[in-house]
Amino acid sequence: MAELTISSDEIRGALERFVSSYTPEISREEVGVVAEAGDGIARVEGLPSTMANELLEFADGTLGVALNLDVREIGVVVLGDFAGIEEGQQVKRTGRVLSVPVGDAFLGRVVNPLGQPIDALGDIEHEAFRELELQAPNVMVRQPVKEPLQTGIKAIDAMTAIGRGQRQLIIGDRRTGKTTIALDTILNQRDNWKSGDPKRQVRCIYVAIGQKASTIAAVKATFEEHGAMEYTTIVASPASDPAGFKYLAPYAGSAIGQQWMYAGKHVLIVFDDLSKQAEAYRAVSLLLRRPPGREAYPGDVFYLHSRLLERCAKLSDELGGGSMTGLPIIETKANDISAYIPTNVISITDGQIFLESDLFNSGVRPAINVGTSVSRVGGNAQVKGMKDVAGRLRLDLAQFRELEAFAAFASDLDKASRALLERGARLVELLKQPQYSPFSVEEEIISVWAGTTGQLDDVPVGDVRRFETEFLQYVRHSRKELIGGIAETKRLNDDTVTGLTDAIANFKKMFLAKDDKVRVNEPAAQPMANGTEDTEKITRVVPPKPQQQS
Amino acid sequence: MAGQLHVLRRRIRSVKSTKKITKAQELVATSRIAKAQERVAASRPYAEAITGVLTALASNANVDHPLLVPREQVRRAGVLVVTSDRGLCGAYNANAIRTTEQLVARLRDQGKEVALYVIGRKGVTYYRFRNRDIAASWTGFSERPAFHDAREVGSALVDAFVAGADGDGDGNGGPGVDELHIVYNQFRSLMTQVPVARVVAPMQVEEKPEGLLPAYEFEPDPDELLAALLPKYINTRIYAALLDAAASESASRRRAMKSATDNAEELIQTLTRRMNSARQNAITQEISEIVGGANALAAAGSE
Repeated sequence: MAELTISSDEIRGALERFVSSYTPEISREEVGVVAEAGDGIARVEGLPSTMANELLEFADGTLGVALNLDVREIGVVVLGDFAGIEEGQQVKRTGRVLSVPVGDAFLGRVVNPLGQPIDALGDIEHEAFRELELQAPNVMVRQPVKEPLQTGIKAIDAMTAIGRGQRQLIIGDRRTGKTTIALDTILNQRDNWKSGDPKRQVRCIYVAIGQKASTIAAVKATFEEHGAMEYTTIVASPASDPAGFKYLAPYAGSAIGQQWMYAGKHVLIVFDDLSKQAEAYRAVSLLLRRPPGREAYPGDVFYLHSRLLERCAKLSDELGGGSMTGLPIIETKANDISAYIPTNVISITDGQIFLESDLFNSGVRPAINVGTSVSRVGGNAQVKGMKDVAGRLRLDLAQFRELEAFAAFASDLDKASRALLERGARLVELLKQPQYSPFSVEEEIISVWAGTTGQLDDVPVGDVRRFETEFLQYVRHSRKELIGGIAETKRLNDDTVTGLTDAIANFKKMFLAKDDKVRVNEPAAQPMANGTEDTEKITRVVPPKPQQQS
Repeated sequence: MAGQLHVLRRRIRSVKSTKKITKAQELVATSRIAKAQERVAASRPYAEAITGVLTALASNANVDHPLLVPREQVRRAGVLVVTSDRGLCGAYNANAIRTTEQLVARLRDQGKEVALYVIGRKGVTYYRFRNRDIAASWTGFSERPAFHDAREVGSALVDAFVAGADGDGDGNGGPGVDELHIVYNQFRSLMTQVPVARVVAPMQVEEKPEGLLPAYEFEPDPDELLAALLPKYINTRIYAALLDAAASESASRRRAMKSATDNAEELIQTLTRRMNSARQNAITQEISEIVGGANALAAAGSE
């Protein structure tokens, strides 16, 4: 047993150590009080050191974002159920700026704008947290858009090509197929994903803002049916969500995407749609008593969209060369693109795809108005082979549109104009494409090549689509080397062209065109009644009959 | 909102320019009616004279000329339809074509083939679009037919008739016919034009008991003269039909263009009203936005 001695030095030393290490600790906790609550907005007094966009916690655990920092109070947007928030309740700071969890585990999941899963598939393991409001990549870390992002839609890939890192607006009235174009683009990334090559793979994010929950479910079902869900994240903020959620959803989606972009991967993000987000932001701003501007939108509604879309970028090679391509969607009313929000977003994006209800109703689907749709940077990113054949397409269609009004008098026109009209009608037919059936870039090149070089001119207009499908089938089966050649070189060299001309000539012999006669649907005329017709007469004077002798 | 205003302005502008065109067409058609009626009047003396001569001839000759005797068996009938060269004349062409179709349906019911002869570009387009055979067509004179046009048409028809369906064609590669019908729009008044169908050949001989006959001597004999004059008579009948049709066309066009001009005026009026209200709405909205903004700022300042 050891002897127990108490050395006074030791005790003194211990005391000194304790005293010297003592620092007066003042724990300071700021506590605020709800001064006013209602409509998803709470005004909180106190909390003087709150940061902009900081998360605040209410007494019942609901979170809120501090948006307005005034002299005496804070305007807070409540995220979630605001029924339990009452006047006089305590509010605490969390010290966290609004951020979402991010990571690869988000692929294949449906989350709300706070990054919480809402698809009953359990928790998501996150790699990190990312702030929602983040400065967009600056000029130095970017590089020009140069890689193509194939949408699988002939009209878009040929005429308004989209590059990785581009922002391409999809704009049109309700029910003109805006979402379908975005979905087709996502579905078309499946082959890239299956290839396993990270340079080709594109991770997709679909941000649904203010849509019906049933629509979002239908979109998810489409993704699952076509095997696209495994590389897609859906950020859902259905119509029933409070305005705060709806306005934050695009930023949440963008934050998830940025994580991948900075990791050198390619991302495609669809915002469906930004007009509803602007409306949600307007509601929030008006409730926060910010001064209303044009159409009652607050003054910073332009910044709302520009800071979001600026975050789409193609990063420089030093940063891994990742990219985020944005497809914002805007809904117009009565084809009026000069309204406030459409003009704003058109000016922010790198081009737009116009969809028109007239075209849609006349059976041109996708209803893309190729005359007014433009892509300001996509041309550089276009596949070489496509670029070669598509220049002619644009020209032919432009000439066709000029003459289109005269199509009714086609028989009175000169030969050259008639040929243009015939060619144009076939090209329009060629650019039609059913939904959820994306084309590979090789097939697109072959189709457009056949149209612009006049190979289809002797196929009846009504048969062009059938001819195209069957011809592509024929090439896939019996002339595999042609498709392989284009896929490999991404070019259309002379050998391939000869091969294709040869193949199309052979195929035409097998192709049975349908009867292309005009069918006039008229009832047969009723026969004219007898006796309604006059006859030309000649009068012949005959001597009067002699009077009968009585 | 501003977009809507813009769209309305553009529509008003386009309706106005359409109205200018229809107004001009209306004026042109009005002056053409008068001219057409003058020409009808001018053609009358000759028509009366030739009718008189024919009456005299028929009374003195044998009426067994092929143009006067119905054939026992009619295998094919020729139908001449008179339409216009240009559109914008209301139901004019539709009426003529509908009547023709009814006539053709009746002839088919009677077991006759039909050979179509068409005057006017509109009729030609109609039948060509439907891939129907046209035996012969003439275009370019529907508004101002001249007698030589009628003679050209008439001689072709008479050739086909004389050849007959059993013969080997009319000599120009067309089919021969056993009957000739004409369908055109008859001018009743400025407001009514009715489509009528007439049999041109064989002609009917109407016997009219009358007292004394002028005593003519014919050189050479009446039969030969009748045979020479009958085709000419058919030409005058066709000419008369063409003139009538031309007057009808102008009248029909005038009426159609008048109502088009009236409709354009009405449309301009409603569009102008809508444009004004859209403009006022835009102004009101702007004012309320400014007032709302100012109020909000004032409220924020006072706190």
